[in-house]
Amino acid sequence: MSDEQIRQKVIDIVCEHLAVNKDQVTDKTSFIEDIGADSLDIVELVMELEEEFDIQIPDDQAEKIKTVGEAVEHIKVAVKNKDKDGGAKA
Amino acid sequence: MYSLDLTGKTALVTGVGDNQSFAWYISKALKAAGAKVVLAVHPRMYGIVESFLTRDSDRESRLLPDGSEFTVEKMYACDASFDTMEQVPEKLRTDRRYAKFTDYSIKGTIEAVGQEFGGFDVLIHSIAFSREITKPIIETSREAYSEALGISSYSLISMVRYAAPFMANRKDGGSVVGLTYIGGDRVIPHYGGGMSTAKTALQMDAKQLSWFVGDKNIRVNLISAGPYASRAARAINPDFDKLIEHAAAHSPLRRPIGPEEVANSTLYLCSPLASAVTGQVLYVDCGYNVMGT
Repeated sequence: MSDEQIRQKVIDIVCEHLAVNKDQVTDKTSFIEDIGADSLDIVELVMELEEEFDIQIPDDQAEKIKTVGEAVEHIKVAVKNKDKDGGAKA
Repeated sequence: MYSLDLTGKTALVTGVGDNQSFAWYISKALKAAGAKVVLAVHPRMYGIVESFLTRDSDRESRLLPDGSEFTVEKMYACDASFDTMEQVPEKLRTDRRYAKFTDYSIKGTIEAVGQEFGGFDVLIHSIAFSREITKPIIETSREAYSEALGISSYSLISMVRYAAPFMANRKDGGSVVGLTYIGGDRVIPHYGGGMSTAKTALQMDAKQLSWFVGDKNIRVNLISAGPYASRAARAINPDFDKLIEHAAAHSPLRRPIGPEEVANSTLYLCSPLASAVTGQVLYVDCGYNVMGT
């Protein structure tokens, strides 16, 4: 999956999950300040992203993700690491 | 030979938040014992619990002792703050996170389950909340205190009221089991936000309720579980591990409890083995509560 494909997929999931329009979302969009998400929204979103990309995002790392761009960056790295490990999951 | 077989029973379990919660372990134990399990989950936790029930990565946490996977008959959204939908404020009713559910009141949920499954045998109450749980009682606001008691204590009264007609005179009787904590009997200073009072209230309410539904052969008991580091507990108190260590060192069994042990004792209370046990608080705490040090 290319970086741009990952980005688009993350944005799709964010929009569907948090009920926002795609044109309102940029890399700088903050989940809490711009979209009005709360901690439970984030937990639910992280679980869906984990399932969709077949990755694990530990709680302490998930807490650091504040914007859509940060989520995309995190997932890019996680997906690459997963491919390196031959797709094996912890 | 005595056996603990709940085949043919239906259990309604409230308070599953994630796959570390007591309610999760209790649900799995009920299922493993043969019962049908129905979950009533907070509307805000519905998607999260659904993920725990379906994701490949959470498969291990669903495994039952015989190697099969834990499944539920059905999941309902239920917010224990509301007895009927008329009590839900307009702002919340139209919030997108709630708007997808039609009736998430206690009455609506219990009646839907009762009608769909032809009554039920077991009701698990594993719900507690205070928005000021990190504040000591002396700093707790009136609003947070009242809310904590409403959600954590009154909800049991409400659930038993609406469940009684559906649990009355079942083959082996009905069993209601709730979760309490020694912070409702003794001073656990960090157990703030009104939660200590909420547990005290819950313990008295369970005794009162046992009288009012006893004539329908419904038993009401509580389990007072020793400290256990669920996600919720760790979020409340970062020093929770120290509290567990302290309790373990001062318990007759000299170890902390495991969530499976709370689930196993719940099974006992739900089974005919406990047919004369009602209005009780059963301490599942490695004996910690008997100590004077």
